[in-house]
Amino acid sequence: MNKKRILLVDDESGFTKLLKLILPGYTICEENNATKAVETALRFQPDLIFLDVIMPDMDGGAVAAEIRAQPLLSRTPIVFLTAIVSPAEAGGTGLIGGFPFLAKPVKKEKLIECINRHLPD
Amino acid sequence: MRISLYDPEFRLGDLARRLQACSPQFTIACRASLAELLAEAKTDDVLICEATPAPEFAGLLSRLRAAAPQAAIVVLIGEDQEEWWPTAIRLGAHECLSIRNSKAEELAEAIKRALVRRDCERPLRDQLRRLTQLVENIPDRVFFKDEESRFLEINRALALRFGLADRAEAVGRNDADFFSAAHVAAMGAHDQRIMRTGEPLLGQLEREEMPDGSSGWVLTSKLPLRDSRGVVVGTFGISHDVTEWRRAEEAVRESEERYRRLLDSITDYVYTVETRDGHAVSTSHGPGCLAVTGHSVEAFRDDPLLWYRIIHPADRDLVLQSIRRLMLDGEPQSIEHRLVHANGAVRWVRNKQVLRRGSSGDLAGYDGLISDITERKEAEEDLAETNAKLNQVLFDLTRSHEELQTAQRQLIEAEKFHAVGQLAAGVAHEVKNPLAILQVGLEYFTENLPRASGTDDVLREMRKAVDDATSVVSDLLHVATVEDVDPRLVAVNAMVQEALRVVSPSLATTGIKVVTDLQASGHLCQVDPAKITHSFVQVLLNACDAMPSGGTLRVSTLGKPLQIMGSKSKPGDRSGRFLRQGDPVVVVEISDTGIGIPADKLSRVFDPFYTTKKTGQGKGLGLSVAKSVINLYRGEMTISSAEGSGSTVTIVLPNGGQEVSVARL
Repeated sequence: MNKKRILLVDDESGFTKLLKLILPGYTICEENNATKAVETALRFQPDLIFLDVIMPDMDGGAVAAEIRAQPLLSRTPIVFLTAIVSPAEAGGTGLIGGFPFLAKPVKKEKLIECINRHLPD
Repeated sequence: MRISLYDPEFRLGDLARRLQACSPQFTIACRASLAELLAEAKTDDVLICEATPAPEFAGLLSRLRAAAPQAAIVVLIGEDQEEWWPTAIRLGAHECLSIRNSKAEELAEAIKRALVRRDCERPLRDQLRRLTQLVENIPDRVFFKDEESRFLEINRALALRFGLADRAEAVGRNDADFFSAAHVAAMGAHDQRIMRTGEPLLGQLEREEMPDGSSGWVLTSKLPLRDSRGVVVGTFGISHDVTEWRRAEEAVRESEERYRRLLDSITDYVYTVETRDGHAVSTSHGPGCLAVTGHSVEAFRDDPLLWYRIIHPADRDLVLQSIRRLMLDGEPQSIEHRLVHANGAVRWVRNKQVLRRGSSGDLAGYDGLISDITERKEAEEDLAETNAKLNQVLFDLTRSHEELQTAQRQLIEAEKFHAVGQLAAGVAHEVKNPLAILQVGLEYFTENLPRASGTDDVLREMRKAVDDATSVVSDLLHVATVEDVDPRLVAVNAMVQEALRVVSPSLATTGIKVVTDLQASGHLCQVDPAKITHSFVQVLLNACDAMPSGGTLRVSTLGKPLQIMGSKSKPGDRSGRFLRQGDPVVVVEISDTGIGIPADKLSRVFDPFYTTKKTGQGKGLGLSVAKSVINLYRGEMTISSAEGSGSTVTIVLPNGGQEVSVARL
């Protein structure tokens, strides 16, 4: 059984490295440069993308919109993983700009739960 | 009958003897000197003297008349000198006889005629003397004029007026010689009119003007002067100087005019009431009554009850009581009441009354003084009105000021929250990323480090520290971003029950008893249920923290119109920023029986990061977040506390409606 492929887009390389360490059951691709996120995604063809919101050069919202614009990536689930989520932004819908999100810091069990929800076996 | 015969030249001795012979009743004495004649003449009945046509003749007759006014005087005229007769008669002789025919019998006859004439003449002379005395001594000015208006004669008073030493100087002169031209013209016209018509001009008031500019007033009567046949030959008249009287009259008129003006302006008057057996029988009112009441003195005199009718109906009892007190106690009374003026206007008067007793000490009535005080009363009323307005303005200002102070306080509070929020939002992001790394790192260690009891403890403490830090940052973000996104109509009781469920583990461990009284069944609020529930949880946790060794937690809800405490409250009063007296609200009260909060710290319990707990025991954000959430939904949150006996948090939310809406949800 092939491992699920997850793309982590976050300018904090320490965070992506550690995430990769605690998620050994998945094929993880780290991308710390937001402007290269689409290119990397096209090459990597992930099953799920975790996307930081506030990054230098390009914010998560714009990255998400470009990814969605790619026919090959248009159906790939995107989950925001962000430190700025406030209850207001959550708005009771669990969505930011139409995408689901997880608030940093995030516990492993929540991550796994989220991955399983979007990538059912 | 004594007869003296003046015979200085001894020529009449024979005549005297013959006269004696024919008239034995005569006692005749011849006087040789004038001195002897004058000395004896006082007792003589008749004086006989020879007339000599000489200048001294008139003087002689005059002296004789003066020396013997009672005597009849017979003059013997010399031969060929009969033309002297009229002169002699005019100068005072009673009878003349020609010496040529001086027979004793004729002389006796002449004496008889002289005596008769003397007797007839006496009353005329008396009358003339009286008239002369009158004209000469009267202070009025008397004049006689001829047909050309020339003076025939003036009396002494007029001579004095003309400045003449001798009144004879006036004879032949006319008015133009003494008066100013204008005056002369007027008087000349008068004279001519009298001459023409024969009608007198009586009691004419004339203004005299003298050439020197002085003037005076005279009251003059002028009449036609007629001769013995009744033909008008001139005028005569009498002038009474009325200058002083006229001046006095002018002074009186001026004084009266001043008095009248004063009366018109005076708004006080005195009245007198006569009583008999305690009842008013008549009144008299002073002149000022016209100005004050519009009724004249006569109207009050003629209508004994007018004084009562003009009293304003509402004040009549007051006036009657005052009179009653006056009559019973005898003490002067002073009241203020209204009168209805004849023109219908209402006037305020002060009415002072004092008893009056007759000469025998009996009660005769009372006197009163009415003073018009309308202007003062109106001024007082204006003042009172202005005062009331000012008080209202002051009251409004005070209220506005209080509201402003409240608003300012709330603004400061909101600013405080906003500032903290801005800061927190920035800090939170920067803190959360490192926390995320630590979190993930700890997860890694937990899974991959060899198990050892020491390692597990360390990792657990580290995880707890990261959790606590994460929790603080999350609360900070709550403060930072309290804004509404998706309010819904939610039942208040449901949120309270959810909050109680969340905190029930904490309650169980501390042995706190919970008492609920949720009367707001079915009452809804337009809120985000998660936020409000979170707020309730924060308050409940705070209450639990206040009761570390157990106690009672009371939670009640009630739907009702907002009732602001305090006696001064009225519709429109505000409670805090959003709610007003009478607004429909839901009230949630959460009370504990814990340690309470000192009064000086009570006002700060909603400040962010303010805590009464020791470091590490509380973050000081719970109540701040709760309050900002309640405010977000236009509600209010207040706290009261008594140190040692517990605190009560009251949350008031706008009532969004009743159960009927629930079905729609």
